[in-house]
Amino acid sequence: MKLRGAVFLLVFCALNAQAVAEVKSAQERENTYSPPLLPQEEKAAPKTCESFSEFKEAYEVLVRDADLALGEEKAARLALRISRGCNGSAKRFFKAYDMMKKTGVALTRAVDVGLEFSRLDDERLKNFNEVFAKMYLENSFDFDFATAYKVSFELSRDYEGKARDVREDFVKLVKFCTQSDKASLPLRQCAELALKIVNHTPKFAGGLYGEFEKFYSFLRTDKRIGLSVIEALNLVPKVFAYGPKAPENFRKGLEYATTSHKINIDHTNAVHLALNLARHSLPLESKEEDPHEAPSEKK
Amino acid sequence: MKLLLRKNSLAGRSLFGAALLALMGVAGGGVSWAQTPAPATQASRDHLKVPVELEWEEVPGAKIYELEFQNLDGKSIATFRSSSSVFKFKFKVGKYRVRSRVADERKVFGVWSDLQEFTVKPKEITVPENSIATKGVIDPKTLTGEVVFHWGPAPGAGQFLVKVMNEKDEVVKEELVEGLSCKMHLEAGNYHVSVTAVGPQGIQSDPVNLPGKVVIDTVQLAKPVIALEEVADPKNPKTKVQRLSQTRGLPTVRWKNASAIADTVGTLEYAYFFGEEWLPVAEFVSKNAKEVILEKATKPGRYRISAWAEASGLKKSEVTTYEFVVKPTEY
Repeated sequence: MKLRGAVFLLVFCALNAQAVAEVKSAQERENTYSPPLLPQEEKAAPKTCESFSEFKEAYEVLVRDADLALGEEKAARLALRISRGCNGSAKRFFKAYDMMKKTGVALTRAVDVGLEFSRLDDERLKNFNEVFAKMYLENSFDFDFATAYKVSFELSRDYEGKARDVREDFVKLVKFCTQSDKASLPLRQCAELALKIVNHTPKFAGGLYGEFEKFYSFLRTDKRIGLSVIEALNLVPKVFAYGPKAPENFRKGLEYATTSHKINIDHTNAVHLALNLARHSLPLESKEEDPHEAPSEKK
Repeated sequence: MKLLLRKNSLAGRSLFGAALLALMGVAGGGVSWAQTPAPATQASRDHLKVPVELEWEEVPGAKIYELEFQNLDGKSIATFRSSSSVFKFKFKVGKYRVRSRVADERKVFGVWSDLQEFTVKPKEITVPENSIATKGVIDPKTLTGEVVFHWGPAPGAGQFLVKVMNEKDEVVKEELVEGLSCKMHLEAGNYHVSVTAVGPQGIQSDPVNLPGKVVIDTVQLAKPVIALEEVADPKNPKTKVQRLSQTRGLPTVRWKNASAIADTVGTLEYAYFFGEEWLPVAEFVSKNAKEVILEKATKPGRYRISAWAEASGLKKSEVTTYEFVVKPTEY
């Protein structure tokens, strides 16, 4: 009976919940760099949501949560908001909420975080949980709470691209740069570099780690360049910023400039040329001016 | 007609006066003693004797005045005769009896008056400049401040009673000394001091207040300092980070130079991330202890330690605060 009364009250907040839900969908962001799977004219059947199951699952746990101590009415209101996240929303809510609660985040904020992830997809939640745990735990990177929290959101909720790609890139990059036989960087420096590099993950379909390994290996082993670990790792994001073709153009340009008899330039200019070629790996945007061309005179 | 026998501490002077007056056939009246100041050189030569001056109003028809002084055993120790109304003499500090009679022009003396007991008191002390010397603050180890009092000699006095009174005029310290100075250790507070010259048989002068107040301030205890553990930064082994020590996995506060005289008192508070309120978790008092194991700092979140030193009679120290985070071990 009580539950029925509470649900009745929820009618009034349903519209409000809808308004809150006006965020870019996970699917929209997942497709940022991928072509649509179906032709425009073939519209997929509308997705349906098991909203009652989500509501019930969320409500029954919330109403028993002694820390929140919501009472039936408030628990029902919150469960209704959670159910707005469609299938799996209750589980996503509790995974994010529990993690924040276990960290010592204020319960109201933990609920907010849970609600945010209840409306996103499982992959983004997984990014949040894994990145936060890796960044924050003492036996991992041991970052302070604020940094771990910020980065975790950057690589999950706010990430413009495939969540899984960036998660895997981040984890692999961190592993790479901390491994003693690879870069062997201090944790903080490694994490900061990894974050700079994964900024460009959305430009690489399926992630950039494979390309990174190849490019880094080229930078470190090519005697003509002779870069240190840090110099090589710092150069990576500068080149990767221009997309998946940029590493190749950089490498080819450098090789040509340093080995071909047809062009005779010194090492410094060869690197500059390679960097410019990397930059030209993306087409010139209409508004962008080419710095190598003299500005056209106005007629 | 009135005889004035002036000496400020003459006991039973009215009886003596009355006796003399009776002798002269005059009723009523009283007597008093005055002790005139004596030069310091004289006092130092014979410091146990006190100059005494006796003066009375003349008796019409009297040609000779005679006074006989006795000790308390009744033995006569001095007899004075004078045609004037003033006697000047020196007596040791002590208790005496005196009687008097007068003679007319035929040199016929009347009867002696009754014996009157009186006391010769030591002279009051003289007060030099800067009679109080103190740093004005307490020593944190003893919780007292040292004060030295000085005064000048007082004829007739072999000892001096120094009384220290608080602002409510309660005597907080009293000392009988033989020299002309006295060293005392007083707790923090405001005091005033009197010095009374004391002669043989414990006969005392009137007390003299030393000028000015004695002000002893308390001192503030030193702020407790947390001894942090320095370890290699796991994120960058070339640098070091400081953190609380650990005991069985629990954060532990260790004090640098723990005070032997003060307790270190403190609170442990908890705050959620994004929470504004600090919630009390525990209080601790560390008596001479060098460390406090924060057994209640187990729940992940933010913690704040606030600690200060406390000791009776001393000002509390400033508060030391330290914040730390307890992280979960896994998710």
